[in-house]
Amino acid sequence: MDLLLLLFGTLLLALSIRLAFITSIISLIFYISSSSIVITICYLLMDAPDVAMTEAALGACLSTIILLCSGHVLRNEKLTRHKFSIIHLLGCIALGIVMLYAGLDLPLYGDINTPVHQHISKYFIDNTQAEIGIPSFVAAILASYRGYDTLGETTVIITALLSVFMIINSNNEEFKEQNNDQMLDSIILKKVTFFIIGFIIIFGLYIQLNGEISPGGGFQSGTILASIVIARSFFSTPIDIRYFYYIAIFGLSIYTSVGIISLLDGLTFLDYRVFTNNHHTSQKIGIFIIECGIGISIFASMSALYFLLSSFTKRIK
Amino acid sequence: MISQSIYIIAVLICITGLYMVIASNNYMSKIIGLGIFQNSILLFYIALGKATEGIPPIYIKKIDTIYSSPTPQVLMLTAIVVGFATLTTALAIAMRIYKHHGSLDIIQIKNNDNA
Repeated sequence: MDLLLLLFGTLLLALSIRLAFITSIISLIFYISSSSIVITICYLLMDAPDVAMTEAALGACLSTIILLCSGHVLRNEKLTRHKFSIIHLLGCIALGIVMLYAGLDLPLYGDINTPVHQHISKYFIDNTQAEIGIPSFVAAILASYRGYDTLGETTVIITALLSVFMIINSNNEEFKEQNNDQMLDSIILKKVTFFIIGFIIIFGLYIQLNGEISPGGGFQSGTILASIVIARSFFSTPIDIRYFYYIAIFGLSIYTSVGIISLLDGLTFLDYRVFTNNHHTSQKIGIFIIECGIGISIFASMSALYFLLSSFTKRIK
Repeated sequence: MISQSIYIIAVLICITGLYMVIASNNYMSKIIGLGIFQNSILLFYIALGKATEGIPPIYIKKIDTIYSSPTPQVLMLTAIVVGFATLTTALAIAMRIYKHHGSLDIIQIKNNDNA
């Protein structure tokens, strides 16, 4: 097991070093997406299925799509270095030596007597079953113990959407006419895509609804469902992009309204006891609603981000 | 030393990413370099949370089960999402620069401005 991790870690390092010396944008994108897949395997080997799923959906799938949007505009751009800078290299190596020296004090890999395993993690592992009552520790921490933090993360995504919207400054009419003449005209691709879409919907909804008992949850399913909208946009008339803004804000307001309802009831922010008196049931209802809010918000934000960037790159060309 | 090699790999990936960010002249390379830098941090945190005899942090009905620590996993899960948000924003700014200057190369942009 450790040997396998070492193997994939070395592969990841090799891919990263190769990335530093690439001159073509397209191969840069393919190397970064393959290093994403390798790091997904590393996460799985280190017992982190939730992180692996997020990285596979966001890093390997959506990042590649979004980078390829810009890649086809920049395909003639050369990433040449004008001069080899020895100072930069020496600075990086010095930093590496300092970090390795500090790393000598790190605990052995896999040791369970370290601070990481002792204080708060021990509390979560010992008390999640009694306090929250769902099997997945990650979902319990994400949506209940640290629910306030996750609200911030969802807001960050919507903030990114707003800033991309403001940077690109696309208006809707331009977006529509750009997309109409870009539709693909291949019957095989169309049939296969529409055949697969049904399965992807089921997969996305499965991850969304089973986030409490298995790896997965709102972030992952939102990304997977957004990939359907992206796949569909190659063959059908585009959906009005404004709807995605409304849906994204709607998802965030589902999340916040849970907090506000509990405040109005005299409890603290995001206290799920507002739903029922039964402790475990109220936690389950609260986590379900919040995961749905995250899923809807991420789905709409990701789709809108793709449409904004792709319509802008089409206008450059 | 062999049991700490994953940390060494993380440090090496980290300085590779840093080198790409500071030594490259192209905005696209800088953005990708930030992604590599982020990868190394994620790898480091997840490696700290692993327990040798542990299983993924999903509850099973068995006494004295050792789980890998869920806390770093939750933090890194959200870090990936935030990393994607920064990637798209950086890319939007880069495309804006490309539209204005016709290039993403720092020196070329500087020459165009002077001319």
